[in-house]
Parts: sequence; structure tokens; C-alpha cells
Amino acid sequence: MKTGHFRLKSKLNEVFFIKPNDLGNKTLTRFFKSSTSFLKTMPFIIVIPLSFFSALILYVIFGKLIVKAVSLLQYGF
Amino acid sequence: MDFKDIIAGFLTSLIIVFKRYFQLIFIPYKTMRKISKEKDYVQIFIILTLIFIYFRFSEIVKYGRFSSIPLFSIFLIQLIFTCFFFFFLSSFFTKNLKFKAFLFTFTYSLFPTYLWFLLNSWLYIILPPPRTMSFLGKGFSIFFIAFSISILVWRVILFYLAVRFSSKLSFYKITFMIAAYLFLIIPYSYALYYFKLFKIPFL
Repeated sequence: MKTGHFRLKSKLNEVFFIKPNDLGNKTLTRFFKSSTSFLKTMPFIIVIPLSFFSALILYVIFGKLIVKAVSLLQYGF
Repeated sequence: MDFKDIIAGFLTSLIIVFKRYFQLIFIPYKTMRKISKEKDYVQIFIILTLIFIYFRFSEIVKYGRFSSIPLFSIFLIQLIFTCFFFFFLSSFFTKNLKFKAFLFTFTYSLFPTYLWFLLNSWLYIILPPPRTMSFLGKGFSIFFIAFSISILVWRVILFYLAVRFSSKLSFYKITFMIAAYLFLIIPYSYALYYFKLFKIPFL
């Protein structure tokens, strides 16, 4: 029981280690929290499909320039 | 403390570093929160050693570039500057800040950068540039851009979390500090490119 209480206390201390974000407007804060919640756990579930979509859009807009940019990036390490 | 303890301690830190790297992929928020309370400096030593090994490797792959030691020194100065910059700015808004938290979070947040540079150097060997306008060339280009965007977004998330957990400040203040940081870093990156030290800065 004591261990359970201690664990709960340490967990709460960990979670409330910093104040929650407040953007000064309730709607804005709610929107911020709901949109960032996807990025707190398993962000790649959203990030990877969005990246592929963005890469395709970029290719449609810029065409050959994207292929040249990749060559430049590959020399960039 | 005998030799066995030192080895055991080092191996523990090594396991923790790899565990944290793995967790930063799946649970970045919780992991960064834990990292900000870290005290084991051996972990920083391990991360910096891994980065130094990468610099040595890239020196071999890209024959004729600058030696790895000055490049690694530039990277170290960058890292220390970044920690001090955010520590200094945050101290205007909050008190009782710990520099240690900045050092740990910023060092761990370099993982996406390290991964991008490491995979890029391997790709340089497997599929050497320049890319062509063939079907495979275009396909690879789209894949590479998507991969780079994913890593960049992950890096931005970890960078934001590093500032958030080490400074304990709110979103607006963090945004302001990051904007001020970019204001300095963009011309600095251009200078690195101009002097042919880094085409893409190791940030």
C-alpha cells in the first residue's frame, strides 16, 4: 500500500513537473493541446505519411529541382 | 571503486543511452521529461563519442574534406553555445534553473541529426550522388525528401521539448527564444557553408 502511494506520488510529481501550457485563450489552448497530443506519443504515425505527401507535393511543384536538391543534400553530410 | 564497477557503470549508461534513443522515437514527451532530470554524465560522454565516431567515418567516406577533429570541435562549441544561449535567456524568466538539464536534453535531442547524417553517409556509399532524372532517380528523390522531412519534424519536436523541460517556460516564451536562436544560427550556418566546413550544419 505504502509502495503504491509512493509510486502515485512520484508519478504525479513527474507529470506536474512543469505547468501546463496556457496560450491565453481557452479555444486556442484547447486547439494547441489537441493538436500536440499526437506528437507526444508515436509521432511518426502522423509524421511519416505527411512527409511523403509533402514530398510528392514538392515534386509536383518543383519537379527537376527536387532531384537536384536531393543530390545537394546527399553531398551535405 | 574497482575496474569491474567502472565497466558495469559504463555498460549501464550505454544501455540507458540506447534505451532512451529507442524511446525518443515512440514516446518523445515522456522520455525528454525523464532526460531533463538525468545526472549521469557518462551518457553525455557516450553520445559525444558516437558523434565523434560518425565524424571519423564521414572523413573516410568523403576523402579530401576537413579533418574530423576540427569539425567535431566546431560541433562541440555549437552544442555548448546552444545550452548557454537558452540557459541565459531562460534565466530572465525563471529562477532555479539547472544548466545540467539543458546539457542533457540538448545532447539527447541531437539524435535525429546524428541519425540523418549517419544514414546519409551510408547512402552516399550505397547510392552515390548525383541523382538522375530516371524513374528510379525520381522515386529515390521523393523517398529521400520524405525521409529528410520526417527527421526534421522529429528534430523540431525534440528541440522544442528540450527547451520546454529544461527551461520550464510556456509556449510563447519558447517560441521567442527559438526565433532569437534561429536569428543567430542562420547566418552562422551560411558562414560554415561559405568556408566549406559544413554544407549542412550538424545542429
